[in-house]
Amino acid sequence: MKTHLSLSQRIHNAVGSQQAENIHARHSYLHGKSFAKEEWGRIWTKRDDCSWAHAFGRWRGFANVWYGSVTCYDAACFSRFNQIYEIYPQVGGMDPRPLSEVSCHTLVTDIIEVADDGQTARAYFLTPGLIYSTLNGNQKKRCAYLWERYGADFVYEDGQWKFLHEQVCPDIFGNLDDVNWAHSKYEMLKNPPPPPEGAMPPRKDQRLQDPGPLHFDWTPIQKVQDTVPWPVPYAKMDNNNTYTKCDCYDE
Amino acid sequence: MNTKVFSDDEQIRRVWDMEEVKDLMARRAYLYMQSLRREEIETLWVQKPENKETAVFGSNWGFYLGLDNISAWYVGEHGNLRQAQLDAIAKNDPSVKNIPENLGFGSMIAAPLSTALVEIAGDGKTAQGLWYSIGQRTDPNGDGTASAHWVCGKIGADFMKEDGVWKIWRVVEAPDIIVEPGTAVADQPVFWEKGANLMENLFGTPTVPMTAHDPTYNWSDSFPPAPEAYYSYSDEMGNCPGGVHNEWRPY
Amino acid sequence: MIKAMCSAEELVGRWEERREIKNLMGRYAVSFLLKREKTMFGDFWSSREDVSMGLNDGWYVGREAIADWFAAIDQATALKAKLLKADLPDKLGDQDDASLYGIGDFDVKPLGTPVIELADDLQTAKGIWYSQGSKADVTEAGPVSYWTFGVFAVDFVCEDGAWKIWHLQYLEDVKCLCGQSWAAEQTPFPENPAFAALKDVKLPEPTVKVTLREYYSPSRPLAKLPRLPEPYATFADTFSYGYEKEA
Repeated sequence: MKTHLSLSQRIHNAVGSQQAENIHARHSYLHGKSFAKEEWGRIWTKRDDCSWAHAFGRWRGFANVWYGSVTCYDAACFSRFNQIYEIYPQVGGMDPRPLSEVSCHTLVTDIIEVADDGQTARAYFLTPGLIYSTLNGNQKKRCAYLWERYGADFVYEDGQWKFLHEQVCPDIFGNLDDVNWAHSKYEMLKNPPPPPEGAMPPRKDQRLQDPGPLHFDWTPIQKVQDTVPWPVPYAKMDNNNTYTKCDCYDE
Repeated sequence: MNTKVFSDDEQIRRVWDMEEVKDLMARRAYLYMQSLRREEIETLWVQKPENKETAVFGSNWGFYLGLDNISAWYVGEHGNLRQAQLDAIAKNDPSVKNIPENLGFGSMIAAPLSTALVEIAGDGKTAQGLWYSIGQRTDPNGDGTASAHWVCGKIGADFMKEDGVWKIWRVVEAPDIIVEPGTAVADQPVFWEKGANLMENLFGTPTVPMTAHDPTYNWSDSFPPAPEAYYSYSDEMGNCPGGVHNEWRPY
Repeated sequence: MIKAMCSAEELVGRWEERREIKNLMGRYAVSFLLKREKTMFGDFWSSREDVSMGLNDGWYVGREAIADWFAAIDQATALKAKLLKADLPDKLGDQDDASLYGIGDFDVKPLGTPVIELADDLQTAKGIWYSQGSKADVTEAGPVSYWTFGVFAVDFVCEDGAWKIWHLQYLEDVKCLCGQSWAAEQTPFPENPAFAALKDVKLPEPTVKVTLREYYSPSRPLAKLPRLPEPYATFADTFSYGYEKEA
């Protein structure tokens, strides 16, 4: 028990822990709908030290996070809409974003700590998820499983809990459900396929302050990665207790 | 909106309200897995006559209204299905006795819960939650074989306090993905052919048939709803026919 | 314990313990993914002698039996890395065994659907979680992946102010090859001579060999789950998820 804190602090922290779960879940449902503007506009802090990271790297600062997570994401959604509206004209007038896909990152195996000072919270989740959509340019449904790990930091700001940092670590990807994800990875190691024509070059984004790779998909030769270690009890956010190190945390 | 300011004492009781609501839905999931549907209805759902009348069980294809109608389908028709399956199994394999203890023989169902997003009303009388379930349904065919399906989608629920105890009031299960393991979603027709959707067939004849959620358009309809902070419950925000389903449709 | 009669201090204290138990089980589950079997027994389990672990085919009773089970996984993990290194020398040949420890396996045991009850006396707690998992395992066919569906049912005991696992059951309904149906006969991948040494690798037999849970098949009767936790005052007033010798 946190008896070294006052009753009021302990209750504040209990609420913070639940809010970390709720806000992360809200992210999942907004992201599943591709509502990037609503997500980043509402449940994220706009501080300069906020960050969002994936295997390909990390954006730092709200303007850069917005560019990567909203501007570019919206562009991808609109591009998909352009592929389907002539095939499925009934989508006319609908918001193009949810039509893009359901990218559903579920939340389980929660490990959550709130700082003794009540100003930040840290959460780790396993996220066995699915990505799917019905109306696609190739006139076929699609559905893949995508299992990842999440490390997230939250900050208490003006009486509300907000996302501060998020790091996504994709591990497993496969078609639901006609592949054996481990065996197919092994087969690719033994018999490497030729690189696909027109393969995308590695992401070159001037706004990625921490260029990747920060994490690798699982393969049978992949050493154990603990890219987002689970949080442990902590007094206040510092560079030992954060998913994004920043000089400002050690001041 | 819920703008009420709570005292510490109220806050910690609301923290426990949220835990109890999540616990209640988890208990429902375990009873569902064990086909203990009557027990679920009698111990976890609302029991006061005025609340039973307004209880709802919905899915993509409409709503059962009132606990008696829910029970007739959820318990009664399910029991009939299990009996018919056992009749066929016992006829085919005399070593399997056609006795009540063998109902459910060869079946396995799970709708585990992830990604909990729960809001407790400001007035403390109701709560609303949303979960995502990567689940499965496996049914015997009667000839010694069985058919398995992944069943994945959101589960929304509204709760009421009766005499200080949280009870399930309204549930909506909204499957997006229904696919046999060993086959690919991509190989399914883009649009379900009539009679081909397992979960639609199992949903029977609801009191209010309507398209409550249409996964053709992914999560465009935002139904079941992601709960927002609120002070007191109204049907417009609820998991019921009066909930907002279709405002996204252009015409 | 009736919430309305509890003080705010009691309520927040009980909530903090509940959160600790979720964190403990989260760390336990993630430790399988991080291949920490070498230290998991010491890190998470009670120091009591009457610990027990129930798996589908029986009970591991007492400290030595459970420790041996973890040690066997640790040894198998090391062997799998060696076999993969020999099989893929161009990819792994220049790395030492210690740095390769853990490759090949990837065991994701997600925990959801929690039902948790703390004793009124806060000395013990009980919890159940559903785990819709997936795991890569290096087998005699090389690396393959499985869907694993099961439940964890756990008794916890508070020792020196920290929660520890006292009794644990992990009972699976499904362990089937990904890309195949759990309702049908599995078609195994062909054996791969590079991994033939794994034929001799077996986990220790349970102390008490008894079928605690049959894997799903179309000829399985409807399977009941372990009883759900119920509110209780002290452990003597409730049931146990541990091994209980038949009278």
